[in-house]
Amino acid sequence: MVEVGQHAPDFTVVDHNRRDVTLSNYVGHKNVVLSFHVYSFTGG
Amino acid sequence: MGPTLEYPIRLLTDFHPKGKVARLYGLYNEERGTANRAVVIIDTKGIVRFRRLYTSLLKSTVTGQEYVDTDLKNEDILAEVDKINEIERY
Repeated sequence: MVEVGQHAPDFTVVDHNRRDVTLSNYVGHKNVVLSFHVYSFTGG
Repeated sequence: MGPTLEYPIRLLTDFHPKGKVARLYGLYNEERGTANRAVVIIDTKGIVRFRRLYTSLLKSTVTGQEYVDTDLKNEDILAEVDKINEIERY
């Protein structure tokens, strides 16, 4: 897993409105919280 | 473009290629074919400032035993972001 103090790996993915999201676009502007969650609301 | 879904946070998909971002962050679980549950906080300089992997605990219950995730509440995450903002001010 990534370590505290490390540069966060950049990526581009699609959001729920099919818009591209690139992590590095938030640099200089916002803190970012990445929440990896699986099987949400499925009882899994 | 079609109608958009109003939602307070951006829901991202790590579907194609599958697990690309999870792998970048060392969170892909090859056995299950999913990401592991985790939270990563990144500051305005692009540095990882906080990370927490949800671990599954085996807990005894009246019906037997079950796996439960250790609890990371939203307040905990917001508190970590507040800490980062406090440090940035000085």
